[in-house]
Amino acid sequence: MNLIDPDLMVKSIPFLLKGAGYTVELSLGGMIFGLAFGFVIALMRLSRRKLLRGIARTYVSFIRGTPLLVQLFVIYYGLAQFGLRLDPIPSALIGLSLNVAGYTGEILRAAIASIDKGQWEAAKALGLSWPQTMRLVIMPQAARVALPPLGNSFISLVKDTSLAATIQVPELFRQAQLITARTFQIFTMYFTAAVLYWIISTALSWVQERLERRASAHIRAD
Amino acid sequence: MMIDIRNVHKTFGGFPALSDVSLKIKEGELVALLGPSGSGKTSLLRILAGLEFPDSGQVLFDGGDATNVSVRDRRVGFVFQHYALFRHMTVFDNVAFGLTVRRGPGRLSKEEIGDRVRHLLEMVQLGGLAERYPSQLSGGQRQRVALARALAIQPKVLLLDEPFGALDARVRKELRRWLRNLHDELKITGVFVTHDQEEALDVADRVVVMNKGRIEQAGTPTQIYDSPATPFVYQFLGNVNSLECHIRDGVAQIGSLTLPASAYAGVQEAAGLAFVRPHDLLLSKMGEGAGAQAEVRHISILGPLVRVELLLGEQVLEAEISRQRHAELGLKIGQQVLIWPRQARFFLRDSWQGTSLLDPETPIDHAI
Repeated sequence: MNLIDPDLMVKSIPFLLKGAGYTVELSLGGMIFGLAFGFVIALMRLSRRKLLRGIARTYVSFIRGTPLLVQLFVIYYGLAQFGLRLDPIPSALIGLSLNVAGYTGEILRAAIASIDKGQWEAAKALGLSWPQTMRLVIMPQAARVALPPLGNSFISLVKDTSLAATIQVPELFRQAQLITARTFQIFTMYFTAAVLYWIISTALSWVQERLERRASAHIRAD
Repeated sequence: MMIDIRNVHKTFGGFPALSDVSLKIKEGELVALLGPSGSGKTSLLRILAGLEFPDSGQVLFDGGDATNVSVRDRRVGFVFQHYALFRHMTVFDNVAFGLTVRRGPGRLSKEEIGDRVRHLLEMVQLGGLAERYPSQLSGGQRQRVALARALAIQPKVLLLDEPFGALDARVRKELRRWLRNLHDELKITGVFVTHDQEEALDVADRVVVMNKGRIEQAGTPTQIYDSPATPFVYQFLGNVNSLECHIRDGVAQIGSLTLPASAYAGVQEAAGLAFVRPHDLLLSKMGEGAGAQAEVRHISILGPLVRVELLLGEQVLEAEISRQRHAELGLKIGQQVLIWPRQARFFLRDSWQGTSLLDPETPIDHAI
């Protein structure tokens, strides 16, 4: 028996790609919602109100201190017990977004806090409102600081989407499992899935690198 | 714009940064807030800007209460110590920023903004660098961008926090001169903070000397330098000999040196301090003039000047004389000379009320 069955590999590609489609969707969706919610978390962490800071800190601590797999199970299986039956894909999207928010929240908080107080004051002295300052002065600079760690978060997220297989999402890993169950070509299928994950992450890393280079073109340490 | 600061108090975490500070600034005046770190000068500037708010007291702009008006609505131009330029924007965009974000009736068209920014960049001599980023500029150039940015919104008052603090000596001097000219041209009311007394005396119309959250003295550079109101001002501005003395019936005794201190005619017996600037201390050969006998301890040649360290009794003091005078006296270490202060000022230990002395009998001609 060969280590790799090239025939099966080629034949399974369309199924796997369909799964990869879900993987990319979950990754992008999880990142977009996770970033948005993470931004809220970051603002709460930087808030002057103690209560908001406390809530955000507890949230981040909970998300970082519990396994994603358990978080997904709580949302998909756990909530169902109270009649809140979510489909696999929405469950996965919610779970991944909430999880990513815990990490991006910390990244964004650190990036915003790294911007010198003088930038806030200079903007204020020129008559800018708080939202204007955030949007036009702070975020463009904080983004440069946040981009590398956010990129890492994103790559992790791509790989973490495979956990959605456990809650019936027909993503890449799940598809590989299904084909394996029928063909018993275990190594071929999982290895092919691994190569596809690798291609997706590499492509995304490349995009991230380009973004970083463009963003930091004019910023030098001074 | 006219500024009136009335009885301002400010504490930071229990530490008093400003205690009962009152100051009036005239329209078009350029005022230096001078003092050591922790003297409250920066706190006062930030309160003027609306970046901090006083615990009590008032700030009036042209008679109107601005005490609790935020910096956003105060129309002040603020130049930060470390420039605080927006690093992700070009020089042009930095200067234009205060105008491009403006909404409502005060809004300018793109052309108007472009004209104003180009004009400002010409004025700060950065016309060719509009498309550069702050990281591509030298410290002096960044400082001028910061100034142009502050001026772009046509502020009613220009506030500068240690404007030249981070620059090297040569650039500093150049920018100083240039700020003075700019102020003369624009006639804008300006306040700047500095710990450099030379900078304050050179640039400002009026110098406000601060110490421990209080104003020690406010006056023209000449007043501040020639008639310091307190021992602190004396010591902070320029080199000075401070000598222990006894004051009795209008006469001050510094070791073997006896000087009239007529303002203290009524004082029976008190310990005091005498302040004498090194260039006000006249030296002459033994038997050729008036004064007390002192011993030459050290001589250092400082370009056109000669600094002579002397021992009067047990007190060490410094004199500065010209190279020519040094040659005439033929000074050597260990030699005895006569010293006489052309000007001295006395403060009683208990109450710092001073007097100035100029004795007509003293030989003055051979001074620097």
